Amino acid sequence: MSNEKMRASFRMLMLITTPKLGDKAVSLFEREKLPMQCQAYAHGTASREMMDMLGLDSGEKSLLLSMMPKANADELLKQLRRELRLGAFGNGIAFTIPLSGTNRRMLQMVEQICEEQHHEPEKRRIDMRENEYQMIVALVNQGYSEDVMAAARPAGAAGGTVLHSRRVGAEETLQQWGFSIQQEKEAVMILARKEEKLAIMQAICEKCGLQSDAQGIVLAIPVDSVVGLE
Amino acid sequence: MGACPFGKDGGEMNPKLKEKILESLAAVLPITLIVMVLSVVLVPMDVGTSVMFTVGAVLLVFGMGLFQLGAEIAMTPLGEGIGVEMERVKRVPVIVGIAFLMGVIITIAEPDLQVLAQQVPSVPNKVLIYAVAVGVGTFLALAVMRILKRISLSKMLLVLYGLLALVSIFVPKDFLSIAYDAGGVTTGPITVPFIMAMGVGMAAVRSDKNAANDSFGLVALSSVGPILAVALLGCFYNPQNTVYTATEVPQVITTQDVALEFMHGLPHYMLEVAMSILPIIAVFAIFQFATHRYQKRQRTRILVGFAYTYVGLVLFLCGVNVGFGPVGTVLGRELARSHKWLLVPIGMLIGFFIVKAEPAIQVLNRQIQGVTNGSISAKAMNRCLSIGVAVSVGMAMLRVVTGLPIQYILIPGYVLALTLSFIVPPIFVGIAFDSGGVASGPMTTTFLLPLSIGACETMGGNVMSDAFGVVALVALTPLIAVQIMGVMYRIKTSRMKRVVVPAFDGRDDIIEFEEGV
Repeated sequence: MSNEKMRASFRMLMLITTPKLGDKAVSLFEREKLPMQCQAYAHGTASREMMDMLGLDSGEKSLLLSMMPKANADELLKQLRRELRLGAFGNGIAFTIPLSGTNRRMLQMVEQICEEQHHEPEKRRIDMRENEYQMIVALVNQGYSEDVMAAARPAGAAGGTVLHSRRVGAEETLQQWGFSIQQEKEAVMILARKEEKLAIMQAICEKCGLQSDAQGIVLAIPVDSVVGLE
Repeated sequence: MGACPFGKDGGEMNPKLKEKILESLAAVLPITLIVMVLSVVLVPMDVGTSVMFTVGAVLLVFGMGLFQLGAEIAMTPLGEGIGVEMERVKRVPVIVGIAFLMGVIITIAEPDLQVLAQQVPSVPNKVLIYAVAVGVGTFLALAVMRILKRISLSKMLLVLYGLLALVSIFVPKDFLSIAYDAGGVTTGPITVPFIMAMGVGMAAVRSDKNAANDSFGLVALSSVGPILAVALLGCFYNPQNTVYTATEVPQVITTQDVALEFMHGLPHYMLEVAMSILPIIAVFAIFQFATHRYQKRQRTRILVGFAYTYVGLVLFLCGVNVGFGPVGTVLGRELARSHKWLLVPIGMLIGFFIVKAEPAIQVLNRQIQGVTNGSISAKAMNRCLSIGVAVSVGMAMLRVVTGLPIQYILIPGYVLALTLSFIVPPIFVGIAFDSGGVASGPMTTTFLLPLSIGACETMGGNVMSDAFGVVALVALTPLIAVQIMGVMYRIKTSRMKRVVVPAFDGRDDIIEFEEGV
């Protein structure tokens, strides 16, 4: 156990955007030779009930994850803001989450790549919020993401992103046919202002908490910088 | 708040609606333009027919858009839901029974099957329809069993196609093309999104590493059923004569004639599509009653989705049958008469662009992109299928010109496809054999088939053995094209691995960060 502590600010950069702009972001990552660790498909939550029922809402979203030093991450946020026109209606958001550890090899690879990146710092002022937001994550049973949003919206949530996932828990796993079969879960991610965080979490907990059919767990994660929330 | 299709900023169109419109335009416009250009340059067409074609194309755009939207919000969630809940059932006979019933119900209602039945008068219509339905049911049940018992898809396909080859020996020659066409025909625009989604649902709740691979392959096995069923019927009934109904080219001169043609067609397709969508709605009702899976808003959305699917398919089928079918015949006839040597290259050009206009193709590509998280993109699939279908239409035209027996293409083709299936990554096998059934949809039967029949008639060939079989060829080439993409993918990833792994000495351990630099 020779764990080492290191004085450094590392960030996880998360981009949530439309699939098309997601592809554009991927090519931006490739062009700048930046590491991109993960891409997933998600969908946005519906904002208008009528449009949702007509199938004209809740578009597909692309979710991209990457890890890099804070300085690089902030530069990249600005670049994404400009090139993907985040902040325009429906184009998406990008934000960073502080990291507290990683494996050495990963770190070396990322540092090597990022050191080669010497960008002129952005001259123009770009609207970037720091330390104003938190990410609320609600993990609920399949089909309840709409209920989560219905609870969260009156408390101040603007919108959210849903990731379909499986529960991985030893005790509830159904061993069948030799496969393990898991319960489907939906993870609803909502970016909220710090001062509204508590109210939103409470509202979700009340309507979709563990006592309800949604069997929800509500978490909040600190967010560092955000672009695209104008 | 309201059904206004425009965004709240006003003026800006709803992004979803815009996406769907652009998508359907991209699917329908290329093939429309090609036919238009051909009609000006090579095959003069009277104005009435070309107006009819244009109206058909417009219907196609709207039909396609609505159908895609419906598949997305109704068929796919329903199929996935059934797949998910099916895997929870503890008893094998129940699961297999459900799969069998689904296969039978969906197939009986398939409109294309009715058309096929009429083309084979020597076998009573009812017998043929039930035989094909039981064929699909049995093979869908087998496909589900395969997943549960973990039999490799490649081995299963090898055995089944082997069996098929064996049966083919005893099938009368004229009948063989029809039998293979049946496989492509029965997996239509309603069956495919539904069965595909079922496979994805079954895999979605599993956490083992084969889950993604098993998302595909249900359609593949289901389309073997009808071929076998029709081939067996051919052996027993020993049909002497099979007839076909050539698409008549109606005389349209005025715009009123055009309107009348469509008005005549409309009620027919309204009934036909209703017949095929009602069983699915019934399945939805029973399923929801049994599992209570969908919440209130989801239920409404699925019902709205069924309405979209219905209207979309009616418009699509009406447009393609009334507007495109006759043009296919005319094009085939005229090309064969005046530019025989151009049949093959023009066929290839049409094939390249027509596959995008198959309604179920976009659903398939989207599904694949979703399951593989984008590593097999819709764009790559589109390119692959376009090349595949271009080759198959080219070969079909070659057959029309030379009278080359279909076995000479099918046997080596399937041998190649099955051999590849043991080489490429398993997920490509499922995707490839699924897309074979999907690529041969209503566009193929209503445009490509008349095209080759028209050409064949003019050249004086045997329509039964030379013109039919185009569907079978369209169903064959994607198997090879997609698997070749799999081979390329394998080469590319193995190369990437070599580059990415840099020399790294020492152990990998964890480093913790302390804030502040």
